[in-house]
Amino acid sequence: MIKEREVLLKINKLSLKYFQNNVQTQILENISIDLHNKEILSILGESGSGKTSMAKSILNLHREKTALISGEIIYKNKNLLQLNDKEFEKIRGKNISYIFQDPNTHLNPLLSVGYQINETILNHKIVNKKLSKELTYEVINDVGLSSPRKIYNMYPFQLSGGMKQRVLIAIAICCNPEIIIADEPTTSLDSNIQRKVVELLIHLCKKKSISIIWITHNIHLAKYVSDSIAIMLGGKIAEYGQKKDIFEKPNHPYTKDLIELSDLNNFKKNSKLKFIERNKYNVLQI
Amino acid sequence: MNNLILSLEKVFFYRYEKNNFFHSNKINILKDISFELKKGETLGIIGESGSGKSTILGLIQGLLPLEEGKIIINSIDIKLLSNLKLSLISQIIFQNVGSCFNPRLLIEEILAEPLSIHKIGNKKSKLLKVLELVELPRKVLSRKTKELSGGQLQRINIARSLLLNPKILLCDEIVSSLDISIQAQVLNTVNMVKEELGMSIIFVSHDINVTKYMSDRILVLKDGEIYDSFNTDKFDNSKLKTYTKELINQPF
Repeated sequence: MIKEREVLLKINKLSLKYFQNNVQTQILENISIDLHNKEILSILGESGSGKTSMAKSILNLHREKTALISGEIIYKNKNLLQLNDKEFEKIRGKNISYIFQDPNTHLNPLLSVGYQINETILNHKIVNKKLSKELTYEVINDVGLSSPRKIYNMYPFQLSGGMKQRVLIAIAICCNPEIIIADEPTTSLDSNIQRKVVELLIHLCKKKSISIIWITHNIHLAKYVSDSIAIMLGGKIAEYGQKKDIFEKPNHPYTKDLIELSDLNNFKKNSKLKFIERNKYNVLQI
Repeated sequence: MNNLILSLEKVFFYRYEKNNFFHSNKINILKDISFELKKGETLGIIGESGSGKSTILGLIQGLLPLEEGKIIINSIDIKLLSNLKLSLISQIIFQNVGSCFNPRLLIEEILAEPLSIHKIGNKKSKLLKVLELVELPRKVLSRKTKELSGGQLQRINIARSLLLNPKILLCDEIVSSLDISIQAQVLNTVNMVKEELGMSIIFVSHDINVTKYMSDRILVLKDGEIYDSFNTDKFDNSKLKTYTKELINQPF
């Protein structure tokens, strides 16, 4: 008998509307996906597809007054969408953490990076004050930054893009979460640094048994890192399944077109590239 | 030599980093760069970030001072050309569309700028012509940059660069930050205008697949030097040098 993999997070018919100036805009419609343990699930979509909005919904990062959310996000038998702020604060950063895309806008420029990691540890009372600094040094080392004591006292402006992104990763893993939501964590980096940081994130999560929801617009990256992929288009899921199935037997025409366009070896030089009109696809939930 | 539009000979470029009050380190950014661009050719340059690709383009476009080596553009020594005259021969398009435009101006005003600077008249008809070349509708003229997508802005960029009828188009990672479907639109546009106007193109990218699709020939840049070069038509994977193979086989 095949043991079914444990579902850590279940998103069930998630819908999101933004409400501004008396105008309602549908951002997400009927999103249903599962995250299993020891899994990397990629959310692949082009800009405007709703992937960041979906990620933010999981940790209630939308502004209350303008966002209308419906559906369920089940974690540890509770619907996250029904938790109040206080309950969320216990989960955010501790059980489920978030890596943002741009380290420049998500690190406090006036505090040392070590302080910001330490602060997260103390906030969630992982260890007491005496031990938290040691734990911070350990985490800084884990993300591949040598000389943790030196790095601790440095400010974001003193670090390169890749180093700052590693600090964001450190903040995300320091409380040993079960799940990390990584929102385009390497997009702002140069390609050679990108590869190193990707390997780091994969390595850390395998080592610590953390599952990742990895948001990206880069299909090659998604192919490389994922176990399973959900392809988003116009706020809906166009296709969702195991990586192998998606790439070998794509169902949805959008998926097929994306895969074809992603390998320009498919096109002869001087022949026109296929034109994808995103509006023309009829999106059905699988 | 008549079929050459551009040639670089033994170009070196340095950057100076201050070590202390008295001494600066001379860092070699480009070493012994020599290559030619034929008329009507698309030459690709690939390499890791920091390998010097953008520096080469900056030197050709006159954005960086040429201190050592020779650049002959349209049969003229680049040192004899003012930046203004240079912009009539060569135009450059960058990666970051957001910072190429004045956000307070209308697209029409943005496009008209190069014509104003060069005191060229008959603006409206020229604007409409370049918009047609990049397949954007006339109504885009009355929009502001925030109303357009990254891909559309990149095509406006291309349109703006065509106004002065340049012979050379320098593309510096122009599709690197765009979604795949939008990337395709911009690449199609570049190829289309190249054919219509008979331009020569230098296409710089860290994405080997895009570069291979666009280029007739590719230069591989490593640590500021030309490491390898090959034709994209007669392309034999096994005959490539080690680092080139590494670059080509990156998973993402």
